[in-house]
Amino acid sequence: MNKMATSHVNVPGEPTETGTALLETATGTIQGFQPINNIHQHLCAFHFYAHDMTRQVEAHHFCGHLNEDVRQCLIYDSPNKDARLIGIEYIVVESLFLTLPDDEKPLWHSHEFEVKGGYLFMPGVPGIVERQDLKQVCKTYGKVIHFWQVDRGDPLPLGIPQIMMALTRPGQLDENIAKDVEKRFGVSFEEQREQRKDLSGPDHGIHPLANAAGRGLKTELREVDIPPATSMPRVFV
Amino acid sequence: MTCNAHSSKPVCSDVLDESSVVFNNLKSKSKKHPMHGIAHVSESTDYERTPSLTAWNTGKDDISLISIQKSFKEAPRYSCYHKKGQKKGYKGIHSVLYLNRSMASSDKKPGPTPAIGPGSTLPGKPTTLGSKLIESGAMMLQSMAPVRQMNLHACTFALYGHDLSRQIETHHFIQRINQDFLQCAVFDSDKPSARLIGVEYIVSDNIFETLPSEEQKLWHSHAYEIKTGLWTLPGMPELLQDPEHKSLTKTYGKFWCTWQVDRGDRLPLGLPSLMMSPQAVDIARVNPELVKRRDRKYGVSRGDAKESRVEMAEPEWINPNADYWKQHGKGFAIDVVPVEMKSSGALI
Repeated sequence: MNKMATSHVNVPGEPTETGTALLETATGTIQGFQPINNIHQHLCAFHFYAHDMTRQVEAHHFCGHLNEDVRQCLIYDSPNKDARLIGIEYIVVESLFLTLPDDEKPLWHSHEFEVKGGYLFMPGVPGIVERQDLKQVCKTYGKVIHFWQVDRGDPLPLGIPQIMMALTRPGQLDENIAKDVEKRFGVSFEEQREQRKDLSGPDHGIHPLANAAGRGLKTELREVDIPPATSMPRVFV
Repeated sequence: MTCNAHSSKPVCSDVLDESSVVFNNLKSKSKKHPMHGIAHVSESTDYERTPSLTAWNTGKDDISLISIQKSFKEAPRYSCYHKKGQKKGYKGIHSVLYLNRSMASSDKKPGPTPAIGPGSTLPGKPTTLGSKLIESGAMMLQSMAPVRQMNLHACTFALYGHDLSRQIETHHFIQRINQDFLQCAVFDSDKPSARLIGVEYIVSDNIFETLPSEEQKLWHSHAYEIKTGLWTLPGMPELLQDPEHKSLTKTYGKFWCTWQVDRGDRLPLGLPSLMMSPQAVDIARVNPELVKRRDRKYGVSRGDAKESRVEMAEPEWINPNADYWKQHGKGFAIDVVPVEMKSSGALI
């Protein structure tokens, strides 16, 4: 199966020196990586910028459970070894979403449409196993922040964090992007839709403040005054 | 904001902000009881496409208050949800949408909410066996290639860029892309229960010099924290750490923190915070207690590390655009503002 990502610009820099590479092989075996080892799942989905639905990104989530109700994911631009780390997603169940302040809720998005629509999938996992988990994911809310705007060709993670949103209605996903992903991963969103008919979304329905309450959201940078040093004595180490 | 009392639109009294009004005792043809509440004017929502002032009857028969909202004792308004008969779901917009700067920006503490609490313990149920089984299944069938590339664990300290007195111990899990660029997943500990609190990118001085100055302002230098032993590679003998440190001393980092656990946030709230690195300036020295605690945990000594790194070459020059606060006394915050969503015409 061809899993090559769509072409991307190489990250600038010299090739890794042998000494550094060797050392890092050593650290890789000697050190502990428990937080990373907690990541057990790969999910592929689509995000768009909260201020610009026409800019869409194929997002590969590598997720772990903090507990049954909270997951955290590292988002990469491809499932390959040379993938760039482009963002983070947090996923919570409905009951926890409801405890968020009303000002916070617009930053989160619902998963119902992309799950039921077949657009969110777990590459390599048979449908019947996949659906066990998607049954839960369908009822959750997510918060996605991207730091690297690879879709506009940035060779490095420039600028400020971007809030991202997920698909909520038919007609939003660019057809070319959809077809490309379907081909590369050997999936059919339409088939998935058929098989996921019995999945259901949040028990109370999609909260009206989620998905940025239907508006666009843009992040901005602001300079702030820094509080002066406190009178707490500092030891010069 | 004024409304026509003779149509089905309500009479409005106070204006809370540009998008919401409080109304009391308004009478409308369609509702039997006088209505009180808060209405939100919106152009479009996920549910109701009609731009109008929607009024909600708060009489007992057809409005139910979501109980969780009642716990926001100090909130100046409440949200009410209208369940139409058996039909599930929310109808229209019901609560006030505040996207004003003081709440969305990362430098202010969020208002009272169950999502903040003492000890910042994670809310939610323990992972079920079912979920674990699904995960094991996925693990066997899926290639986790990108995350398997992280092969370096560093423990260091970071300061909030808008308040340098807020300092945290961080655990960076690092992948080197090439000799000049590394990407790191940052956690608040190195245990399986560690919370993912942000992402840091590290670039060499060569790459840093190619960045526009507006971009450079968002980055911090690493020389001080490495030379003074704040940065360490747990589990690795100091001597083995040397080659890595030699190349990292001259680097710059850009670190966005997405979960302010030190503030007591039980869930990741707000916009990301730009983080800065410890520096040899009073306001940016790490609290010795934090360092002691970290050193005890890993059986390392910062003092020893500092001594053994004393011979390490320092960068000849650190770009003054980095560590922006040093020259300008200012930090940065991220705000979010509502805008017109750019779309291809598809429904939002």
